[in-house]
Amino acid sequence: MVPEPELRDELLAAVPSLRAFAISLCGQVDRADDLVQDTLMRALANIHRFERGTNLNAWLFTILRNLFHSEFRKRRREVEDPDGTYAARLKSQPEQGAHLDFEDFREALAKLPADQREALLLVGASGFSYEEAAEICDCAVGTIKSRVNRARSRLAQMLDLDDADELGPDGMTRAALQAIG
Amino acid sequence: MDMAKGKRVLMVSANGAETEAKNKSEVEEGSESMAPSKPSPKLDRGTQSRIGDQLRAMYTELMEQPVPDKFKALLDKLEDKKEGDR
Repeated sequence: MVPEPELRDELLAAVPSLRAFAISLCGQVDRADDLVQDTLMRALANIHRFERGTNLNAWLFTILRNLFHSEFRKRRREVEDPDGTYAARLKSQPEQGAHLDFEDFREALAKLPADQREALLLVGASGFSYEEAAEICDCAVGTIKSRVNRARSRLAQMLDLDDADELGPDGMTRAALQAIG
Repeated sequence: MDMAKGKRVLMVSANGAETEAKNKSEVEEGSESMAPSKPSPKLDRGTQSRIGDQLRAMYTELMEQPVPDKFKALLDKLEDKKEGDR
């Protein structure tokens, strides 16, 4: 299938958000770029299945997410890793190439279970609705909502963002907001 | 009206909890440092918005990184190849 120039431009325009999602999802820039590349290849190979006028981004994110999970399952089968050393090593590999900020936040994000992380990223950062995220992850809308809530709670715990003892106007504002909400 | 809304949310979360449980083995992967069955407390809005801000700030930074040339090259190459095929 020939990607029309217009479609090609749309694919290219989707790359930054695909990359941001992939990097946040797997925590490694190199691996994320491989994922994005595979996603584009697969999208081009299956472009005839894409319905023009529907959400191209959602379609691409679905492909990327499926690739991420099948790769993860494959790796887990290949590497017998009963005590988690492989997983630990993967996580501790330093970032290569681009320098990435927000280290504490990224670390906390990496500690979330993958399904919670992806739900939070889709809804909280990539701009998808709960309904779109549910389609991308092939699960119920309620499941996405519950994953996003859990992800937020765990991040708040890990990053000490939910410290109720915090003094000052911020704590007072929060108390006031709580009283309202 | 509010009551109807509350009811729907309850149903949804019951549904979600069921699916979560099914996925438990899959979930274990990144969660060694977390207490497994700790109920998530309801977050106040300040906390929610602070998490949202950090998440978006991190994401914005990632989005602003230059796109590696190889992706543009990949799309261009495929286009050229197809045109050559005609």
